[in-house]
Amino acid sequence: MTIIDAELHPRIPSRAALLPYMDAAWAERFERTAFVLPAGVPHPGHDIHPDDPGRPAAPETVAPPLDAETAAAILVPAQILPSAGWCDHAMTAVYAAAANRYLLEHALAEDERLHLAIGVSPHVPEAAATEIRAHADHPRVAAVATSLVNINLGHSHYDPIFAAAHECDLPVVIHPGGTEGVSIGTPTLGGVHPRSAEERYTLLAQLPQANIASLIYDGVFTRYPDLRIVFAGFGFAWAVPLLWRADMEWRNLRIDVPWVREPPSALAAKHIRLTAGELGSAPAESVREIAALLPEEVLLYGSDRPFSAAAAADALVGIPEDRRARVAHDNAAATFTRLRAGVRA
Amino acid sequence: MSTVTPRPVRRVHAGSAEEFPLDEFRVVEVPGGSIGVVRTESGFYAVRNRCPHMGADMCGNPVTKTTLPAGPFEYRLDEDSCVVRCPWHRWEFRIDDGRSIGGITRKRLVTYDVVVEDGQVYVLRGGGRRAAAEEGEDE
Repeated sequence: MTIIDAELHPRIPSRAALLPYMDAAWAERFERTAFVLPAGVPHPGHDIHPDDPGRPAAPETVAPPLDAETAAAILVPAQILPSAGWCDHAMTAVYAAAANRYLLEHALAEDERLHLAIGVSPHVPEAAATEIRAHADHPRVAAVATSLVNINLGHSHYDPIFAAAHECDLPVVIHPGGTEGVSIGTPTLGGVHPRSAEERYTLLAQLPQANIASLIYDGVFTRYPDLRIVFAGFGFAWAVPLLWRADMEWRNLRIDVPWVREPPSALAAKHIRLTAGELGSAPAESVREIAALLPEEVLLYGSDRPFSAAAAADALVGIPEDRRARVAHDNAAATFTRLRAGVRA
Repeated sequence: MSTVTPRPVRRVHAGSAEEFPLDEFRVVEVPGGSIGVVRTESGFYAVRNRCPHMGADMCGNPVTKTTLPAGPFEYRLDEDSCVVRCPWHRWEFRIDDGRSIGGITRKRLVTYDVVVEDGQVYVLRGGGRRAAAEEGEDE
């Protein structure tokens, strides 16, 4: 089966690798303050630190290797995304810009099927929009990637990012930044700050739920009618009751949100995408039943490599058979419309 | 092929026209339920006093206007609208044809024709599509 991998993660090897991509004064500051490059992002049991690069990506490569069946893949630069939890807003923009330039030069050179989601910090949306437009014409830029600050996605704070992404026909990939719920300025989880990694990972799926509701009811898709938002790395089982409830509340409260002209589930089918990857210990037959209840456009296969080593075929067992081609390829092709010509089933 | 015998149209007396305050329902009991009759600026209308969603009484409040689709956080009142709003879940239906506002459901509020003769208001019940709708069928 032909695959488009909507979520895999490159690895910037060191702080030193980024310095040539910065203004000299900023490079001096990064060195002087002993800036520590974020480890990929913390995944339970799968932390990959630049000082321990042995697994599973080879030390000399920036991007995880692709299977023969992969026609195209979207690199989501997870090391840029923790910047949502930093205090120095100006530094986040400099860091993201340097990291993007490094990845465009090094990661994309490793395999022509690789495409980059330009990573931006949500702190200064105008700077993020400038960064998006700076790279939008690159033939292998296919998306924008960011993580969340403690402002709902429907708030006008994000408008410059959405406007630039919409103008450039780039989907916006939302991925955990790694500091949600534990760093001031990032979204809280469950209204509190979780006190353990287990609590945090358990609650992480609250973020896409709150933000999908915000995107829909705040009318983001009225303002940006072709915008696609991909929530990567958050799972999808929670989306079924969310959309059912969102439809019900829309019917009851439409008079409060007349700008929402369609049922939320219909808007989700057009605008919201969720990645589906490794099943873990979830029983495939149960996952299939859940997946079948979502609009068929919503799910995209995302390998989450190098944090997961599962083969696509093993992950797609959790998708109803009549939807597998959609999830493996077709939905991503329709979402990442900037994928280079020639990516096809 | 089956044939359907149309039900005869029945007239229900709802009162003297001058007894109807503007936009407020007068509810008349009929076998199997009740009907709300209202005088608006565009004339008399009658609807079944039962929401097609979950059965709430629909005619306890005046008819009202609704909001039109607009930009985010822009409210625009449809000055020409006249709707019945359910008190339970705020589903809205047009007073003239019973269709839902905003396409939230395909169910319709049952409507009836009204005639005024010699200053007296009559609701016409039964017959055709209305009879089917009255049984709770969707559009």
